[in-house]
This record gives sequence, structure tokens and C-alpha cells, in this order.
Amino acid sequence: MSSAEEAIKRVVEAFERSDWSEIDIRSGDLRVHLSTVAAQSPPTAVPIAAGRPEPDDAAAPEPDPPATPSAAPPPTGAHVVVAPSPGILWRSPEPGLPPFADVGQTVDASATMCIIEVMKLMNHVKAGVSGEVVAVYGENGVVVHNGQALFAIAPSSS
Amino acid sequence: MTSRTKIRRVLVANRGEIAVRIVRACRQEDLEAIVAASEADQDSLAARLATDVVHIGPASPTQSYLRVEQIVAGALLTCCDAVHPGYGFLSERADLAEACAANGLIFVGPCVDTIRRGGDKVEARRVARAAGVPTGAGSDAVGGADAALAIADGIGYPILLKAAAGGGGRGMVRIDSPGDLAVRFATASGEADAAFGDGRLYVERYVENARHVEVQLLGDHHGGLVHLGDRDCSTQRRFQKLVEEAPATALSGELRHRLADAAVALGRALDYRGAGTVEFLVDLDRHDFTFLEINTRVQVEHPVTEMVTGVDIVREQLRVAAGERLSVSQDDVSITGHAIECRINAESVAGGFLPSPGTITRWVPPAGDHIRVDSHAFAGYEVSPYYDSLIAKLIVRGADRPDTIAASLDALDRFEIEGVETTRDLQRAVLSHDDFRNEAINTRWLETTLLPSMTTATAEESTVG
Repeated sequence: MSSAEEAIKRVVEAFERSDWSEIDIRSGDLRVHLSTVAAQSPPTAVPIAAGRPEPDDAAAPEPDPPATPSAAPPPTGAHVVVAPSPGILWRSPEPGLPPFADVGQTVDASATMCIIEVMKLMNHVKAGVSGEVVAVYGENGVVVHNGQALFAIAPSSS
Repeated sequence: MTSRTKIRRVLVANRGEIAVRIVRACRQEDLEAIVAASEADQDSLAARLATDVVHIGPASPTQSYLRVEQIVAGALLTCCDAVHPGYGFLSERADLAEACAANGLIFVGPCVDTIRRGGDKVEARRVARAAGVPTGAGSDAVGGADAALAIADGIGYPILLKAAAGGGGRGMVRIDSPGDLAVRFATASGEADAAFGDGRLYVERYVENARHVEVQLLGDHHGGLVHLGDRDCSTQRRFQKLVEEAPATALSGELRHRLADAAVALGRALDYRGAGTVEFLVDLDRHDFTFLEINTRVQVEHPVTEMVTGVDIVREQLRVAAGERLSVSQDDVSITGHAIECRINAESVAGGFLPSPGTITRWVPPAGDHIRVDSHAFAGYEVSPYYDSLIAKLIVRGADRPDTIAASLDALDRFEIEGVETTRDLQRAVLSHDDFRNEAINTRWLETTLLPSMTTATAEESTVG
């Protein structure tokens, strides 16, 4: 057996005696992807050609974004909630939970719309105005830049 | 002449400056270093210096650096025989040490039991008490708000409500009154549960006028246990250290001896192996100290100790992990001179310490005989929003404290960083301040004295300008 084959064997054996559900690692031209979950693509433990672009299908799936972000520009008169700093956009309090805010929902000015995570700091982004959410611009887990539009809210007439 | 049969290749399961630091120590110990890197760190300085790189997942730490199985599998795939966890991430997770052992890998750190007892802050207090180390007024884990109220009544307010699984300044709430406690207990417990998967809380007396002083320990598998003296880390904001120094010259020699003895007693009780730090809170009004926690890993501020003792703590960690004896005995350890470390963070001080990710456009660190810069940054480096904001540690050594302060200020002045905002000027303000020079500070000084004065100064400047 080559040393690469031995290394792969060690990983597979470790996986088999563990309670791990998935591993996906790569070093040089070796990639090992093992999963206990019935995946769309079968688990792989094969050398990949160096320099060839990585097949993307085996990547761990991101948690589904709570809702499909809209691409339309904010309607006239809408209040746009922007990112207060660069960071990672989280639309729910934690994975698996419903989003803080979604299209069609009515929110208070003090409502948390999303979290922007920047260097371990979790910033709760507030609505700023009361009204109805008319657009969502960012996807869950993406990196947003400072001032980027995240939501549009049609202020309630009071 | 020692044969290194046990360790040949080390997986560095970390990133940033500490990954660079560990790779360097491996090279000096004639070991190969493999760096575990997330997608964001594929071209990092540590990755470039390493023998090889293993890719362990996406940038988000929960999908890479915090996954035990990715780290262990990465070590096996790259034929490593040891795993160095650095600090933060999985460094104090007993399950990583366990998974290493289960797969024939050496975990560079203390044994599983020590990590577990050190990580449970309630258990650590119990071990400390049994070893004769003062733990101060406080409690074991409390059952609920009523129990906490009864204990707090006995201690007197303010108190700190701390998460049993917290530590490193995280999971702490200051409580000023019984009403406050009643309101905040449930929230604090819920937050601890969310952050650490353990909602247990305990109570500690809050010391208003205190210094944070810690003792560095090193232990081996042959009964060797030494301390490398103390560090003073009282310049903090929200329990996070900004400036650290060694030795803790603000304290009397007698008190420093007692701290070192207490740390060694605790180390013995835990059968300590590898590098560890025992943290104490020194009550400046009562001239006494209490045990805070033990950190079972290398600490961010370890270089100040290296600068005044000449002992390379990371190399000692590797030696101990390989089953060798410590290279020093207690009699060999002597403290010479003084050292100060400034943690340069990519943060906007004026913007309330908001992290400032972005691309570093200019990077010229100071250099000189007694200057050490531990960093992973360079011109063109992108400070990622995914990780903490530390971009460099500036460590300066001098003959004595005044000399070290002067040399540190000069080095800070010459440290050119553009593209991201940093805490450099704040550290300059700390080191220039008479209170700091005269050792007249405590753990609250930065927040209650220095920062308010800087805000006022800025306001006046802008009025004039």
C-alpha cells in the first residue's frame, strides 16, 4: 500500500469506530469525504487531480436560508435597514429556528431584524421604524459589507 | 541526543499569530508542522511556513476550527502523531484530547481529566480549596435565583454571576442589588446554556479594587513542575486583556511568593502536565488574593514570561508531549528585567471597540534587539470578519519597568499599520499615563478612568478644531 492509501485507511478506520456523522478534509491531491447521512453524492475517498477545480457537490450544505431574498429595489418611501458594519449575516437567532423577520411580517421599530457577526461580536440589527417588511436582500450566512441594504420596511402610517 | 521517537509531525489546530508561533517552535524542535486551515486561511502565513496544509472546512469556525472530527481526521490524513491546539477554539475541550487518544495521537496539553476539572470552574474552585488555595467568598453551582440571593446576601453586593463552563472573561455578569439578581439570573443561565451548553452558574464576590495577576506553570510526566513567575494583566476592557506585563512589580515580593506557591500547589493537585496558567484576583484593599481559574493551555500573553525567563514555553510544551523532561528545574528559573505586551487588535476605539475587518494596506512592524512582534499579518493581508480581532502582539523587554515602558512607547510609535483601525493609540495612551507608570491602576481603571478621559479629550479637540 502507498503511504497515501495508508493515510486514507487510517481516516476511514477512525471514522468507522467514531460517532462522527461527517468529515470532509483535503491535503495536497488527497481528499476524504465520509458521511453517515445518505447523501446525494456517494462518500468519496479518492485522490483528486492536482489543480483541478474542486467538485462542489460534496461540500457540507449550508443551512437553508429562511426565505428567498428578493432582488427588487426598495419601494419608494420604504425604510432601508443597512448593515452597521461588515460581517456575517445571520437571519435567525440560531440555525434551525425561524428568521427574525420575513417579507409580509409587521415589525416594531425596536425589533431585531438580523444579527451581524463580526469577529465574535454579535450585533443585533434593529428595524428602526415600525411597519411591514417588504423586501429581504441578504442570504443567511453570507458576508455583507458596511452599509449594505438588508431589509426594506414600509413604515406604518400612524 | 534525545531520540524523538514519539513525535515527528505536529498538526497545528489553530490559526492567526499562535499558529505561526507553534510552527516556529516545531521547526526549532526539528519537528514537521502541518497547519489545519479553513478556506479563509489557505494562504495564511502559518500555512506558508508549514511543511504542509490540511484543509478542514469553510471559514466559519463552527464548520472548521471547532470541529473535533475534522481536526482528528486531518491529523490522520497528514500522518501527524501529535495535535497542538493553541489557545481558544478547541484548546480546552476534553473531547478533542479524548478523540486524539482514541486515535493514537498525542494531544499537546494536559491529560483529559485535568482539562475537564480545570474547565469546570466550580470543580476547579473545589480542587483549589482542597489544595489550600484561597478561593474567596463565593459558592458552588447554585440551584436557582433564590439560592443565589441567599449567598449574595451573605457576601454583600456587588457580586459576579459566573458560568461554570465559562472562563477567559466570558460568561460573567456583574450584579449590584438583590432586585438586579432576581431579574437577571434566568437570562444569565440561559445565555450560559446557549454559549457553553451548560447553564450552571456560581456566585463570586466582586472585588472593586483588584489586580489580575497570573502564574505560569510547566509540568512534565516525570514529576517535574515549575512556575515561571507571574504576569500582571490588569489593563482590561470588559474582562479582556489589552496590556500585559511580567513580572508583577506592583505587588510585594511576599505576596508574589504566596501566589507562586498557591499556583504550584494547585498544579500538584491536578498532576499538571504541559503549560498552564493559574489566574488570581489580588484585592488591593485587603492585600490578599483569591483563585479565579486555571487555563489548561498556552496563553495569549505567554511571550512576556518568555522574555524575562528565557524559557520557550511552546517548545517546552512539545518536549513534554513527547515524554521528555522539562529543560529547566525551579532553580534554573530566574527573572531578568521586565517585559510588556500590547495586544494590537483590529478595532475602532472611537467606535466603541467595534471590530474593524478589512485589508491591511501598510504593515511595518518595529524591530530591534528587545522587540518581538508575534503576528500573522502583512501588507495585503485581509483581516477576516470570521475570527477574533487580534492582529499582532508587540512584546518589548527592558532592564526595568520604566525602561520597558519607554521602549514600548517608542516601538508603538514606529509600528505603521494602515487599512484597518487598531488599538495601537489606546495602548500608547495607557503606557503614557501617570497612573500606569506609577502602578496606580486596577482592573477597572481602563474603563472608569482612561477611556472617559480620552472621550473628553477627543470632544475638546473637535470643539477646538
